[in-house]
Amino acid sequence: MRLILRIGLLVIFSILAILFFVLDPAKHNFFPKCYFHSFTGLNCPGCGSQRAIHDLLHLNIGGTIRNNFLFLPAMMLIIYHFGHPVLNRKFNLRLPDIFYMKLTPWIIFAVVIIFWILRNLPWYPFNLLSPEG
Amino acid sequence: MNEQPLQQPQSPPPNYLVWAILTTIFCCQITGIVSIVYAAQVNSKWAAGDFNGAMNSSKNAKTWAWIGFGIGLLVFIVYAILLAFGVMAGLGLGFLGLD
Repeated sequence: MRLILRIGLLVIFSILAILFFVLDPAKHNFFPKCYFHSFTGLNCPGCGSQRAIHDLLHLNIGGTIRNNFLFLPAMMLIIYHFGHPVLNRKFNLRLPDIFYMKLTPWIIFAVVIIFWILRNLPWYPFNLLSPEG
Repeated sequence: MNEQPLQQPQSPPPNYLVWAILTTIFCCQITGIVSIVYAAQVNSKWAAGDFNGAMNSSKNAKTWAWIGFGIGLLVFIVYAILLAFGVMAGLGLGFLGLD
């Protein structure tokens, strides 16, 4: 059952990855729109992440950062969370799981809220944080 | 009071921060933020020695992670259905020469 689930997830992620590699969310309008953006016209902390995935799959790091500044750091945090036990076992290290440190979620909370506000400011340099900017 | 340390679990309960981050980035900022706050409570309460409180916050974090996932899935399905109907309608109109 677990194996079927894993294979299923792998298949879904592969299809999504191919879809996001081949099609550019900035050019095709059938990708789901952010409802926060649709209703308010403002950017949310996640706006631009579909375009960021497309850019990342094309190894366009600059585009990834431009579309969503927090996308790469978030992915790296998650990769570290799942990767650090492997590193600890292989190299006999004692890397901590940062997700279980006392301040980590509060720092993430603060960063997300500040990012949410800043990327909606219309002036330079904050307008660079908007996916369209 | 001396028995308390024996009953302490060894590791903190799950804080579901991965889910909180994923839902914040990919769909539901509001539920994602709520999940992040509960994840923070899990860590803070655990560090303060409040194990029952940490367990409670863990449960809430889990609930909100599922709510976020559910809303995301719902939006995706509704969107896919609308898209399918839109494509069908478009094809139909095309066949009738009304496009």
